[in-house]
Amino acid sequence: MDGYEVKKVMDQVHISSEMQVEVIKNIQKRMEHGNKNTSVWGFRRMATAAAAFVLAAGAVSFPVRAFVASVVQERMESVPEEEMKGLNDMVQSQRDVLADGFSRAYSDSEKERSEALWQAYKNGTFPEKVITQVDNAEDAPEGTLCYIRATGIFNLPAQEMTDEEMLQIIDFQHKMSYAVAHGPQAQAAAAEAREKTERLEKTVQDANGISRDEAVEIAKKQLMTDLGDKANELELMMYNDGTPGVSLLDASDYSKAELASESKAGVIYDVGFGNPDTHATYGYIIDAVDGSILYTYK
Amino acid sequence: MDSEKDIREAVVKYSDTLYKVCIVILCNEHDVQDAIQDTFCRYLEKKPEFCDEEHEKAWLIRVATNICRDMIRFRIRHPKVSIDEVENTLVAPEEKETLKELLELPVKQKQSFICTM
Repeated sequence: MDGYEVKKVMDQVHISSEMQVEVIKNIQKRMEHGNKNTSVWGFRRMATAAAAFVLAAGAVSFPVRAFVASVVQERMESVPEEEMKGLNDMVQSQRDVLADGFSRAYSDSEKERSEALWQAYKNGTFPEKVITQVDNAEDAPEGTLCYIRATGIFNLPAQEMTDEEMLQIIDFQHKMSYAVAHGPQAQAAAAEAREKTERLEKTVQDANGISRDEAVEIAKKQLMTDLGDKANELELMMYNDGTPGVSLLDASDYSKAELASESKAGVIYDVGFGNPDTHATYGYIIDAVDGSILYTYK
Repeated sequence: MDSEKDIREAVVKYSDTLYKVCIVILCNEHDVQDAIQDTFCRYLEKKPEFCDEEHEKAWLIRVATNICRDMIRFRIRHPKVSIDEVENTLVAPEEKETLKELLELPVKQKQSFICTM
C-alpha cells in the first residue's frame, strides 16, 4: 500500500450531503446562540448512551460514578429528588440544544481559573449559592449570571466572573449531568443494557466459558508475544471509575461481521490496551467460550 | 467568518477533506461528524489569519487530527463501526482491501497518509 494507492482510494470517499447539512446546521445553531465556548458535543445525550453502552459492555459500576468524586457524589445525593427530576425533564425537553452554551467566550484568566476550580470542586469546594435560572432569554437580568432553561445557555456577566460565579456554573453542570444519568431515560437504557449483559454472561456460563479475568490474562500473554518489551508501554484500558475496560459483547454487534460465525457461542470479550501519552492502542477480540483470539486490532 | 454564508462556504470548501482525514483515524461516522463540527467551531473561535488557502487547509487538518486523537484517547469504544457505506463507495475489490489496510493501521502511520488527502 503506497501513497498513490491510498490517494486513489480516498479520492472516492466523500462526506455525504446529509452530513454536510447537519454540520452546517449544528454550527449555525451554535453561532445563533452567540457562544464560542461550549462543552463536548452531545454531552448530555452521550451521558445516556454511555450509561447503556458501559453496562452492556459489562462494567460493574454505574457510569455516573465515572465523573463524580465521593464528596461530589454526596452533594448530588443531597439534592431533593424533585429538583433532580426537574433538571432531567428540562434537559430532555431541550431538543435543539446539543450542549451547554455560554453567552460569551471565557477570558484567558477565567479559563485558567476554571480549570483550577473544577479540581477544587472535586475536592469539596462548593459555591455558597446556586445559580439563578430563568425560563427565557428575555427574563435574564442584565449583567448577572444566570442559566436560560429554554436555550441551555449560561448568560454570563460582561465583567470578569468571580470564583463563586464560576463554581455556581460548575455545580449546575454537575447537577444536570447527574440528573440525566439518573433520569428514567438513562435508567431504562441502563436496565436494557444490564439485561443484555446478564444474558451474555449466562450464555458464557452455560457453555463453560472463560471469565473476564481469564480473558485479560490471555490478552496480556498475547501482547507480550506480539510486542515483546514494547508491551510494557501499554496499559489495560480502564473506564474512568477504575474498572477494567473489558467488554463482554454479542459478536453480532461487533463491526467485523465474520466474528459472529467464528465465535463458538456468539459471545466475545474485547480487551484493549492503550498508552495515554502516545495514543497507541492494541487489543484483542477473544472468544468467550474457548479463549481463542479471533481478532487483533491496533 | 460570522455570517451564515461564511460558515456554509467554509464547510462546503473543507468538510470533504476533513471527512477523509477523520474517517481514516476514527473509523466511525458518528465521531467523525462531531470531530468536523469541533474543528470548525475552533476555527470560528480562534479566527486565525492565514497566508493563503494551503495554510488555511493545513491548519484545519492539524486541528482535526488533534481532535481525533483526543477522541480516541477518551472515547468509550463503540461496538458498531459503521464504515460499510464508505467501503461501498469503492468498486474495485483491491481498493476495498487498500481501505481496509489503511483503517487498520496504527494512528501514527495513518497520519503519514493524511498529506495525500
